[in-house]
Amino acid sequence: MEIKLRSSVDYHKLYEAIPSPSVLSEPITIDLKEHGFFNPRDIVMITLFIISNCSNEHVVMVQPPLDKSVGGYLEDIGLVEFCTKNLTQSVTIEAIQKVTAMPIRRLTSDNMTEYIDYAADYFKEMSDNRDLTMFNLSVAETINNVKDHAQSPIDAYAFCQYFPAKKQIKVVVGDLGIGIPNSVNNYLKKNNNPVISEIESMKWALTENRSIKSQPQNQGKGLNNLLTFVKANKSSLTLYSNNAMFFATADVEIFKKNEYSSFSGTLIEVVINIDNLPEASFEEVDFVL
Amino acid sequence: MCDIIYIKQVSHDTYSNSSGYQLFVILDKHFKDNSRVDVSLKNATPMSSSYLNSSIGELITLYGFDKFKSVVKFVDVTPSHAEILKSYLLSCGITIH
Repeated sequence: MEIKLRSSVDYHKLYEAIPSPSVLSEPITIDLKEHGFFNPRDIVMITLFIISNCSNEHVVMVQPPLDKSVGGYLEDIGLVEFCTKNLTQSVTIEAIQKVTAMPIRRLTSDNMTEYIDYAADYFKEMSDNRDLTMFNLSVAETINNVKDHAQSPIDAYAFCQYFPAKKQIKVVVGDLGIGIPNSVNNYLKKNNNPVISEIESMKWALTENRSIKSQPQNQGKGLNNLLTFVKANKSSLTLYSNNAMFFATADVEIFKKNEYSSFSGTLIEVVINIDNLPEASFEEVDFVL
Repeated sequence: MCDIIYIKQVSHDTYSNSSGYQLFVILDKHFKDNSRVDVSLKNATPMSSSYLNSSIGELITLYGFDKFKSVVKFVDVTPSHAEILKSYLLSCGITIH
Protein backbone atom coordinates (compact mmCIF):
# COMPACT_ATOMS: atom_id res chain seq x y z
CA MET A 1 0.00 0.00 0.00
CA GLU A 2 1.39 3.39 -0.96
CA ILE A 3 0.33 6.71 0.53
CA LYS A 4 1.58 9.77 -1.29
CA LEU A 5 1.91 12.96 0.76
CA ARG A 6 2.89 16.23 -0.89
CA SER A 7 1.68 18.78 1.65
CA SER A 8 -0.56 19.24 4.70
CA VAL A 9 -3.68 18.84 2.58
CA ASP A 10 -2.80 15.20 1.83
CA TYR A 11 -2.58 14.03 5.42
CA HIS A 12 -6.18 12.90 5.55
CA LYS A 13 -5.03 10.02 3.34
CA LEU A 14 -3.10 8.44 6.20
CA TYR A 15 -6.12 7.54 8.28
CA GLU A 16 -8.57 7.12 5.41
CA ALA A 17 -6.33 4.44 3.99
CA ILE A 18 -5.89 2.59 7.25
CA PRO A 19 -8.60 3.41 9.77
CA SER A 20 -7.20 0.87 12.20
CA PRO A 21 -3.62 -0.44 12.25
CA SER A 22 -4.84 -3.86 13.31
CA VAL A 23 -6.58 -4.63 10.00
CA LEU A 24 -3.57 -4.26 7.75
CA SER A 25 -1.49 -7.12 6.40
CA GLU A 26 0.62 -5.56 3.63
CA PRO A 27 3.61 -3.20 4.01
CA ILE A 28 2.94 0.53 3.88
CA THR A 29 5.05 2.94 1.87
CA ILE A 30 4.76 6.63 2.66
CA ASP A 31 5.89 8.55 -0.39
CA LEU A 32 7.28 11.93 0.61
CA LYS A 33 9.28 12.47 -2.59
CA GLU A 34 7.33 15.54 -3.65
CA HIS A 35 6.66 16.83 -0.16
CA GLY A 36 7.57 20.47 0.48
CA PHE A 37 7.52 22.35 3.79
CA PHE A 38 6.51 20.32 6.87
CA ASN A 39 4.33 21.96 9.48
CA PRO A 40 4.89 20.75 13.04
CA ARG A 41 1.42 19.22 12.96
CA ASP A 42 2.43 17.24 9.85
CA ILE A 43 5.38 15.92 11.83
CA VAL A 44 3.22 14.75 14.73
CA MET A 45 0.57 13.32 12.40
CA ILE A 46 3.09 11.26 10.48
CA THR A 47 4.87 10.19 13.68
CA LEU A 48 1.63 8.93 15.23
CA PHE A 49 0.88 6.99 12.07
CA ILE A 50 4.29 5.37 11.80
CA ILE A 51 4.65 4.58 15.51
CA SER A 52 1.18 3.07 15.80
CA ASN A 53 1.68 0.87 12.75
CA CYS A 54 5.17 -0.19 13.71
CA SER A 55 3.92 -0.94 17.22
CA ASN A 56 1.52 -3.37 15.55
CA GLU A 57 4.47 -4.96 13.76
CA HIS A 58 3.55 -3.58 10.37
CA VAL A 59 6.29 -2.70 7.95
CA VAL A 60 6.34 1.04 7.20
CA MET A 61 8.76 2.39 4.63
CA VAL A 62 9.34 6.07 3.99
CA GLN A 63 10.49 7.42 0.66
CA PRO A 64 12.29 10.63 1.63
CA PRO A 65 11.69 14.01 0.00
CA LEU A 66 13.68 14.62 -3.18
CA ASP A 67 14.31 18.19 -2.04
CA LYS A 68 17.48 17.72 0.01
CA SER A 69 16.74 20.63 2.34
CA VAL A 70 13.34 19.13 3.22
CA GLY A 71 14.85 15.67 3.67
CA GLY A 72 17.60 17.19 5.78
CA TYR A 73 14.98 18.80 7.99
CA LEU A 74 13.40 15.42 8.71
CA GLU A 75 16.83 14.05 9.64
CA ASP A 76 17.60 17.09 11.80
CA ILE A 77 14.43 16.89 13.86
CA GLY A 78 14.97 13.19 14.46
CA LEU A 79 11.93 11.90 12.59
CA VAL A 80 13.92 9.41 10.57
CA GLU A 81 15.78 8.06 13.58
CA PHE A 82 12.71 8.09 15.76
CA CYS A 83 10.43 6.26 13.36
CA THR A 84 12.89 3.68 12.13
CA LYS A 85 15.06 2.54 15.02
CA ASN A 86 13.70 3.99 18.16
CA LEU A 87 9.97 3.64 18.33
CA THR A 88 9.38 4.51 21.94
CA GLN A 89 11.54 7.48 22.75
CA SER A 90 14.09 9.77 21.18
CA VAL A 91 17.56 9.36 22.60
CA THR A 92 17.88 12.91 23.84
CA ILE A 93 15.74 15.90 24.69
CA GLU A 94 18.48 18.29 23.67
CA ALA A 95 17.25 21.11 21.46
CA ILE A 96 17.97 20.95 17.75
CA GLN A 97 19.71 24.29 17.30
CA LYS A 98 19.81 24.14 13.51
CA VAL A 99 16.01 24.28 13.21
CA THR A 100 15.24 25.89 16.59
CA ALA A 101 13.13 22.92 17.63
CA MET A 102 12.81 20.37 20.36
CA PRO A 103 13.01 16.74 19.25
CA ILE A 104 9.84 14.70 18.87
CA ARG A 105 9.11 13.26 22.26
CA ARG A 106 6.80 10.60 23.67
CA LEU A 107 5.33 12.20 26.76
CA THR A 108 3.27 11.15 29.74
CA SER A 109 2.38 13.04 32.87
CA ASP A 110 5.29 11.23 34.54
CA ASN A 111 8.00 12.46 32.18
CA MET A 112 6.66 15.76 30.86
CA THR A 113 8.27 17.96 33.52
CA GLU A 114 11.82 17.48 32.28
CA TYR A 115 10.73 18.17 28.70
CA ILE A 116 8.67 21.26 29.53
CA ASP A 117 11.29 22.86 31.72
CA TYR A 118 14.10 22.15 29.28
CA ALA A 119 12.12 23.39 26.28
CA ALA A 120 10.93 26.53 28.09
CA ASP A 121 14.54 27.36 28.95
CA TYR A 122 15.57 26.82 25.35
CA PHE A 123 12.80 28.95 23.83
CA LYS A 124 13.44 31.67 26.41
CA GLU A 125 16.70 32.40 24.58
CA MET A 126 14.78 33.57 21.52
CA SER A 127 11.74 35.12 23.11
CA ASP A 128 12.93 38.70 23.74
CA ASN A 129 12.42 38.45 27.49
CA ARG A 130 8.74 37.53 27.10
CA ASP A 131 6.83 35.49 29.65
CA LEU A 132 6.63 31.90 28.36
CA THR A 133 4.03 30.69 30.86
CA MET A 134 1.82 30.06 27.84
CA PHE A 135 4.31 27.51 26.52
CA ASN A 136 4.50 25.56 29.80
CA LEU A 137 0.73 25.48 30.08
CA SER A 138 0.25 24.42 26.44
CA VAL A 139 2.29 21.27 26.93
CA ALA A 140 1.14 20.49 30.48
CA GLU A 141 -2.59 20.91 29.84
CA THR A 142 -2.54 18.88 26.63
CA ILE A 143 -0.53 16.02 28.15
CA ASN A 144 -2.79 15.94 31.22
CA ASN A 145 -5.77 15.86 28.90
CA VAL A 146 -4.36 12.76 27.17
CA LYS A 147 -3.76 11.09 30.53
CA ASP A 148 -7.22 11.89 31.85
CA HIS A 149 -9.32 11.15 28.78
CA ALA A 150 -7.65 9.69 25.74
CA GLN A 151 -6.88 6.03 26.56
CA SER A 152 -4.14 6.32 23.96
CA PRO A 153 -2.23 3.08 23.40
CA ILE A 154 0.89 5.04 22.44
CA ASP A 155 0.67 7.88 25.00
CA ALA A 156 1.17 11.34 23.48
CA TYR A 157 3.77 12.69 21.07
CA ALA A 158 4.92 16.30 21.18
CA PHE A 159 6.89 18.44 18.79
CA CYS A 160 7.70 22.14 19.23
CA GLN A 161 9.48 24.53 16.93
CA TYR A 162 10.29 28.24 16.92
CA PHE A 163 9.83 30.08 13.62
CA PRO A 164 12.03 33.21 13.73
CA ALA A 165 10.52 34.95 10.69
CA LYS A 166 7.04 34.95 12.25
CA LYS A 167 8.27 35.00 15.85
CA GLN A 168 6.02 32.07 16.66
CA ILE A 169 6.43 28.93 18.70
CA LYS A 170 4.28 26.08 17.43
CA VAL A 171 3.45 23.41 20.00
CA VAL A 172 1.79 20.24 18.75
CA VAL A 173 0.66 17.32 20.89
CA GLY A 174 -1.13 14.30 19.45
CA ASP A 175 -2.43 10.93 20.55
CA LEU A 176 -4.28 7.98 19.06
CA GLY A 177 -6.80 7.54 21.82
CA ILE A 178 -10.55 7.39 21.42
CA GLY A 179 -10.92 11.09 20.61
CA ILE A 180 -12.89 13.80 22.37
CA PRO A 181 -16.24 13.36 20.55
CA ASN A 182 -16.24 9.58 21.13
CA SER A 183 -15.25 10.08 24.72
CA VAL A 184 -18.06 12.58 25.33
CA ASN A 185 -20.68 10.42 23.63
CA ASN A 186 -19.59 7.32 25.55
CA TYR A 187 -20.14 9.31 28.72
CA LEU A 188 -23.52 10.61 27.59
CA LYS A 189 -24.69 7.10 26.64
CA LYS A 190 -23.50 5.71 29.95
CA ASN A 191 -25.63 8.31 31.72
CA ASN A 192 -28.68 7.61 29.55
CA ASN A 193 -28.39 10.87 27.65
CA PRO A 194 -28.86 11.10 23.88
CA VAL A 195 -25.80 10.99 21.67
CA ILE A 196 -24.85 14.35 20.11
CA SER A 197 -23.00 15.25 16.92
CA GLU A 198 -19.21 15.25 16.95
CA ILE A 199 -19.10 19.02 16.66
CA GLU A 200 -21.61 19.43 19.49
CA SER A 201 -19.59 17.03 21.61
CA MET A 202 -16.46 19.11 21.00
CA LYS A 203 -18.37 22.21 22.20
CA TRP A 204 -19.54 20.18 25.21
CA ALA A 205 -15.96 19.25 26.11
CA LEU A 206 -14.72 22.82 25.83
CA THR A 207 -17.35 24.18 28.17
CA GLU A 208 -15.79 25.25 31.42
CA ASN A 209 -15.78 22.71 34.24
CA ARG A 210 -17.35 20.01 32.13
CA SER A 211 -15.50 16.79 31.76
CA ILE A 212 -16.35 13.14 31.42
CA LYS A 213 -13.66 11.71 33.63
CA SER A 214 -10.80 13.25 35.47
CA GLN A 215 -8.56 12.77 38.38
CA PRO A 216 -10.12 14.19 41.51
CA GLN A 217 -11.02 17.79 40.96
CA ASN A 218 -9.84 18.13 37.37
CA GLN A 219 -13.41 18.91 36.41
CA GLY A 220 -12.58 19.58 32.78
CA LYS A 221 -10.64 22.73 33.42
CA GLY A 222 -7.59 21.81 31.34
CA LEU A 223 -8.69 22.56 27.77
CA ASN A 224 -10.71 25.52 28.92
CA ASN A 225 -7.73 26.88 30.85
CA LEU A 226 -5.57 26.53 27.76
CA LEU A 227 -8.18 28.30 25.67
CA THR A 228 -8.33 31.16 28.19
CA PHE A 229 -4.57 31.70 27.96
CA VAL A 230 -4.57 31.39 24.17
CA LYS A 231 -7.13 34.18 23.96
CA ALA A 232 -5.47 36.36 26.59
CA ASN A 233 -2.15 36.12 24.75
CA LYS A 234 -3.59 36.59 21.27
CA SER A 235 -2.34 33.23 20.12
CA SER A 236 -4.28 30.43 18.42
CA LEU A 237 -5.50 26.94 19.25
CA THR A 238 -6.52 24.28 16.76
CA LEU A 239 -7.95 21.00 17.94
CA TYR A 240 -8.57 18.04 15.65
CA SER A 241 -10.39 15.07 17.12
CA ASN A 242 -12.33 12.28 15.43
CA ASN A 243 -14.37 14.03 12.74
CA ALA A 244 -14.55 17.42 14.43
CA MET A 245 -12.24 20.39 14.44
CA PHE A 246 -12.04 23.54 16.55
CA PHE A 247 -10.06 26.70 15.85
CA ALA A 248 -9.81 29.67 18.20
CA THR A 249 -8.04 33.00 18.44
CA ALA A 250 -8.75 35.95 20.71
CA ASP A 251 -11.67 37.00 18.49
CA VAL A 252 -12.80 33.87 16.70
CA GLU A 253 -14.12 30.42 17.55
CA ILE A 254 -14.87 28.03 14.71
CA PHE A 255 -16.17 24.47 14.94
CA LYS A 256 -16.22 22.44 11.76
CA LYS A 257 -15.65 19.05 10.17
CA ASN A 258 -12.14 17.72 10.69
CA GLU A 259 -10.03 18.10 7.57
CA TYR A 260 -8.16 14.95 8.66
CA SER A 261 -11.12 12.68 8.04
CA SER A 262 -11.06 9.26 9.73
CA PHE A 263 -8.44 10.46 12.24
CA SER A 264 -9.12 8.43 15.33
CA GLY A 265 -7.25 10.40 17.97
CA THR A 266 -6.68 13.99 19.02
CA LEU A 267 -4.16 16.51 17.78
CA ILE A 268 -3.78 19.91 19.40
CA GLU A 269 -1.75 22.74 17.91
CA VAL A 270 -1.01 25.94 19.81
CA VAL A 271 0.63 28.79 17.92
CA ILE A 272 2.21 31.21 20.38
CA ASN A 273 2.84 34.70 19.02
CA ILE A 274 5.90 35.84 20.94
CA ASP A 275 5.25 39.55 20.38
CA ASN A 276 1.84 39.23 22.01
CA LEU A 277 3.16 37.72 25.24
CA PRO A 278 3.67 39.99 28.26
CA GLU A 279 7.17 40.99 29.29
CA ALA A 280 8.67 38.51 31.73
CA SER A 281 8.47 39.99 35.19
CA PHE A 282 10.06 38.55 38.28
CA GLU A 283 8.66 41.13 40.63
CA GLU A 284 7.18 39.15 43.50
CA VAL A 285 4.26 40.25 45.62
CA ASP A 286 1.77 38.76 48.03
CA PHE A 287 -1.40 37.54 46.38
CA VAL A 288 -4.39 38.81 48.30
CA LEU A 289 -7.33 36.42 48.29
CA MET B 1 4.72 33.76 63.06
CA CYS B 2 3.25 31.34 60.56
CA ASP B 3 4.95 28.52 58.65
CA ILE B 4 6.15 29.08 55.11
CA ILE B 5 6.01 26.38 52.47
CA TYR B 6 8.04 26.67 49.27
CA ILE B 7 6.27 25.01 46.36
CA LYS B 8 9.61 24.50 44.69
CA GLN B 9 10.69 22.36 47.63
CA VAL B 10 7.54 20.40 48.39
CA SER B 11 6.25 19.58 44.89
CA HIS B 12 8.09 17.51 42.33
CA ASP B 13 6.59 19.76 39.63
CA THR B 14 3.68 22.15 39.12
CA TYR B 15 1.99 20.26 36.28
CA SER B 16 0.64 16.94 37.52
CA ASN B 17 -2.16 15.81 39.82
CA SER B 18 0.29 13.78 41.89
CA SER B 19 2.46 16.82 42.60
CA GLY B 20 -0.61 18.86 43.46
CA TYR B 21 -1.57 16.14 45.88
CA GLN B 22 1.84 16.47 47.59
CA LEU B 23 1.00 20.09 48.32
CA PHE B 24 -2.52 19.17 49.39
CA VAL B 25 -1.24 16.74 52.04
CA ILE B 26 1.05 19.37 53.55
CA LEU B 27 -1.55 22.12 53.53
CA ASP B 28 -4.30 19.89 54.84
CA LYS B 29 -2.44 19.56 58.15
CA HIS B 30 -2.67 23.32 58.56
CA PHE B 31 -6.42 23.24 57.92
CA LYS B 32 -6.83 20.51 60.53
CA ASP B 33 -4.65 22.41 63.02
CA ASN B 34 -6.24 25.71 62.08
CA SER B 35 -2.77 27.24 61.66
CA ARG B 36 -1.93 29.89 59.09
CA VAL B 37 0.59 29.11 56.37
CA ASP B 38 2.34 31.13 53.68
CA VAL B 39 2.73 29.35 50.36
CA SER B 40 5.72 30.74 48.50
CA LEU B 41 5.80 30.56 44.72
CA LYS B 42 9.43 31.67 44.58
CA ASN B 43 11.04 30.20 41.46
CA ALA B 44 8.03 27.95 40.89
CA THR B 45 7.13 27.03 37.31
CA PRO B 46 3.59 27.85 36.07
CA MET B 47 0.87 25.74 37.68
CA SER B 48 -1.40 23.62 35.49
CA SER B 49 -5.09 23.22 36.26
CA SER B 50 -4.45 19.58 37.23
CA TYR B 51 -1.89 20.68 39.81
CA LEU B 52 -4.24 23.33 41.21
CA ASN B 53 -7.22 20.97 41.18
CA SER B 54 -5.43 18.41 43.30
CA SER B 55 -4.09 20.98 45.74
CA ILE B 56 -6.03 24.17 46.34
CA GLY B 57 -9.15 23.04 44.46
CA GLU B 58 -9.47 20.02 46.71
CA LEU B 59 -8.96 22.16 49.83
CA ILE B 60 -11.55 24.73 48.73
CA THR B 61 -14.03 21.91 48.09
CA LEU B 62 -13.35 20.35 51.48
CA TYR B 63 -13.22 23.46 53.63
CA GLY B 64 -14.79 26.30 51.63
CA PHE B 65 -13.14 29.43 50.28
CA ASP B 66 -13.58 31.50 53.44
CA LYS B 67 -11.67 28.94 55.47
CA PHE B 68 -9.10 28.63 52.68
CA LYS B 69 -8.25 32.29 52.72
CA SER B 70 -8.09 32.34 56.50
CA VAL B 71 -5.41 29.64 56.44
CA VAL B 72 -3.45 30.15 53.19
CA LYS B 73 -1.62 33.18 51.89
CA PHE B 74 0.30 33.08 48.62
CA VAL B 75 3.59 35.00 48.69
CA ASP B 76 6.44 35.64 46.24
CA VAL B 77 3.89 35.66 43.44
CA THR B 78 4.93 36.89 39.98
CA PRO B 79 2.40 38.49 37.62
CA SER B 80 2.10 35.26 35.60
CA HIS B 81 1.49 33.19 38.75
CA ALA B 82 -1.15 35.73 39.74
CA GLU B 83 -2.90 35.40 36.37
CA ILE B 84 -2.97 31.62 36.69
CA LEU B 85 -4.37 31.76 40.22
CA LYS B 86 -7.00 34.34 39.24
CA SER B 87 -8.03 32.35 36.20
CA TYR B 88 -8.23 29.13 38.20
CA LEU B 89 -10.24 30.66 41.02
CA LEU B 90 -12.56 32.28 38.48
CA SER B 91 -13.21 28.84 37.00
CA CYS B 92 -14.22 27.81 40.54
CA GLY B 93 -16.66 30.73 40.66
CA ILE B 94 -14.38 32.91 42.82
CA THR B 95 -13.49 36.40 41.59
CA ILE B 96 -10.29 38.03 42.82
CA HIS B 97 -9.84 41.75 42.28
